[in-house]
Amino acid sequence: MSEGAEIRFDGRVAVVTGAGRGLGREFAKLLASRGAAVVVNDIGTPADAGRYTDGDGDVAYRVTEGIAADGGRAVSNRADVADPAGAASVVADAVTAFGRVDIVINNAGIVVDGALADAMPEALRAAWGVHVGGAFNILSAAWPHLAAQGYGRIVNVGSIAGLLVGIAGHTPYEVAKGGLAGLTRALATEGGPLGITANALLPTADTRSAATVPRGYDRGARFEARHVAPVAAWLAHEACRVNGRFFAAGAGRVGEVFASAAAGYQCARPAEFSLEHIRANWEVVKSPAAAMTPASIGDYNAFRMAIYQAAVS
Amino acid sequence: MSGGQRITDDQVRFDGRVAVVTGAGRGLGREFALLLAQRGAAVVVNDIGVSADAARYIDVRRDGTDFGGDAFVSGIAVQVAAEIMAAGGRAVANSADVVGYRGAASVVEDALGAFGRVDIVINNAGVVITKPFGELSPDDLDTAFSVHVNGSVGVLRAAWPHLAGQGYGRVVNVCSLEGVLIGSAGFEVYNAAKGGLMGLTRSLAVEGAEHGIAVNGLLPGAMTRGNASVSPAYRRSATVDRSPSLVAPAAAWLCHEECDVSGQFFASTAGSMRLVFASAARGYQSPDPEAFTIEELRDHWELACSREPALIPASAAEFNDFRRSILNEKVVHP
Repeated sequence: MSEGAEIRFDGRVAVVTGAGRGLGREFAKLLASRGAAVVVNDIGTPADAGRYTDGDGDVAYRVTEGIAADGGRAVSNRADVADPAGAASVVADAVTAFGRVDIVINNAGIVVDGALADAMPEALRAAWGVHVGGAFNILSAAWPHLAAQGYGRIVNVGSIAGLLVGIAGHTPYEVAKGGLAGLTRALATEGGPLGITANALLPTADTRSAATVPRGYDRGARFEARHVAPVAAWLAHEACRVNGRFFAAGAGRVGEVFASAAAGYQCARPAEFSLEHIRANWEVVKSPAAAMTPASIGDYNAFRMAIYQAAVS
Repeated sequence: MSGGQRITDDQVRFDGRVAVVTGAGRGLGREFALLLAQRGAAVVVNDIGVSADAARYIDVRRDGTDFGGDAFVSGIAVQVAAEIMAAGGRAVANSADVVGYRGAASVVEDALGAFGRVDIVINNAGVVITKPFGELSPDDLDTAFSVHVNGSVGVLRAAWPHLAGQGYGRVVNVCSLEGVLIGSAGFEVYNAAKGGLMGLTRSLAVEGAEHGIAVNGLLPGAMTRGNASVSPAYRRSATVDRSPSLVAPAAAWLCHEECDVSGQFFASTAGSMRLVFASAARGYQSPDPEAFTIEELRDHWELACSREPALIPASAAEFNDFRRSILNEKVVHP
């Protein structure tokens, strides 16, 4: 298929959370098959949060056995990344076993369904704690290493749900994945000057977790975890230079999901801006026309000020 | 873009509507409450009255103080309610901490008790915590989550049965450009919290549709206490008036019955209002997903990163149709 050189990760050390099954396992196996040493983290729980603490703790170990059988290097870790000490142990295992850490794939997640009425505080906090808290905790532990070596690749496994579209009936999940998107945007800006990129992967794959999500549509095609793994691996490679971006991936398709600001409406006399101005100009206000996709707040401010000056002066 | 349509004389009014506005003691929330009341709405002015930099707030929370009821009255919510009443409007003050579900519920209970209903919820209460990533702690993340996300969910859980029951509601979640459109260094926990509100907004817009409840996000730009201490991009401009009062019309409009959108995000500052939206690009489709490799992606990376053509999906089903049509094209790439 490709005439270029094989993509390799020799000498790189990766940590992959939630890597005992599904997407995370495919990410870990692919990175290891291309030369990376991998910490395979998984607490080994069922995918639904109801039995969060009652699972198969050996799933991470079994993945490392498979990697070792294929000649790769891996160690397992079964800590809970929602616990800061647990997350720190994942990074510590990378440093202890392999001497460094270069790649962090935050894949651990739980699917917490429920409409608003069912979104009890505990459910909301549980989802947030794993998806956002887990990523935050792992990255807090890894950041000093990445910053010191001036190199890092972060891949946060997000979702189109909450970022691109809404799906009723799993509010805690969408809140958590929206939070992870926000975290990714800030990390990218802060990491860029340090040689650290942070991007997000928005996968579609028929995994255990996906089986419990009320999708509201038929996929009409096979969406396997292994079809997504090359995208995660590429975002983790040194030749991939994009930063702060979001890529939907599934069934061999990779497409960016991006946020834009439209030109919208600027009141010519801002001090007089009123509800009646909005009503009178509502079609312009809600139009996505003449939009731009800013890479930073500076980009956006320049766009906003140009419109302001054209309208007000 | 500028100038626009001539405005008509009849006012946009909220007579008979009841609104709750959290964090309404100062800044943006105060302007939202004042404008809604001026246009006829009865308003519950909620504010716990803490410092915007969260330091004091975090200290008190760590002491284990229960914020239910009147444990932490500062009086600023009372002042705003008094200001509204002095101008002939209707308002009551509530000083509960929305972080506790009991406190959040009390905001809605006060609306029902004083005015008999609730139509409008503006989730504006927030804390700004910005530090270099290496200095942010799990407690910082928890505080941001608790106020922005958990607080909003708490108020909405209490209000939702009433909104759904009457088949009408308007919800505005005060999000941010940060986390929704862009990101800035040091904003990790703030952006995570505001991103969480973005996810909440999109999810509840779908859930609310069948009940006549519109849920939208506002991304305000204003000089308030909340952003006085953060990055240079947010500091005062010498030439542009970025008063919070110039954002209030945008918030109020999203609360009006004539506002016919849901699940949308609008930025507003200095007398402007514009849509902020997410698109999905077509990208690259492997002709043979079973044989898809890293090298294939590398070789087609430019196409994978292309932002055209793109779809602005109104629903998950629309995105799925888009994706399936691409898969079915069976395009053979060079």
